[in-house]
Amino acid sequence: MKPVTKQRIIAISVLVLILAYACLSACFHVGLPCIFHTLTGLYCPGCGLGRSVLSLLSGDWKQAFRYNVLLMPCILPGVLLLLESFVEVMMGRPYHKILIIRILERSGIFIALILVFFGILRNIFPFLAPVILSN
Amino acid sequence: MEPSNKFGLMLGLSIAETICCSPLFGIIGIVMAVLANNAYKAGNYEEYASKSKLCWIMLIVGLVISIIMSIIAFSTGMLSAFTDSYY
Repeated sequence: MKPVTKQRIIAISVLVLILAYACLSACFHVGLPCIFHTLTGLYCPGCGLGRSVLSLLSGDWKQAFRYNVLLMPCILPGVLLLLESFVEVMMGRPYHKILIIRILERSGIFIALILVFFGILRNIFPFLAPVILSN
Repeated sequence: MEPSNKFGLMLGLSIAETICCSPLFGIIGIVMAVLANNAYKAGNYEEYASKSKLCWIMLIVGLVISIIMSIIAFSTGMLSAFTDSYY
């Protein structure tokens, strides 16, 4: 199988999985449980992200931000970046020229470090942890 | 033959696993991806191959464990206990 065809199949499969999970989550208002939080009681960097997305879809920006202060502002740019990269893959762009790959190769380590530090800090400072705002 | 460096893809998936599935395996995947990239840049393709293979194994193991535990949570009716801890 040609590498481009393989990339397209993987990209379509990932998109279908993401859309299926998003639909299930939006319809039933549940998400995958955070096993790390359940087992350790600690918050991982992604805790609250799913609830943040659901809050955004309901129009509650403040609650969405309080669920995950780091990643909530990255939701829309992240979705746009993934969509753009999906289009590039479907158009057959070479692997190293796909936008998200270029970004990750240049600044992926920096992004990973920020995430890890955020994951540690949100267990120390309560204002970084997921919070349900009282209405 | 010089292999293709998949550092960006490995790092991206490791970051996604850190956020979504399993922070432990995600962080190990990040470390392995960085080590693999360093080996590639140094021209050590054998070490790159072994480190990148380790990275993929960590990602797959983390994903599988997360899926299995989620299935157990749903099937044993423990979902209600997780309603305050889901993503």
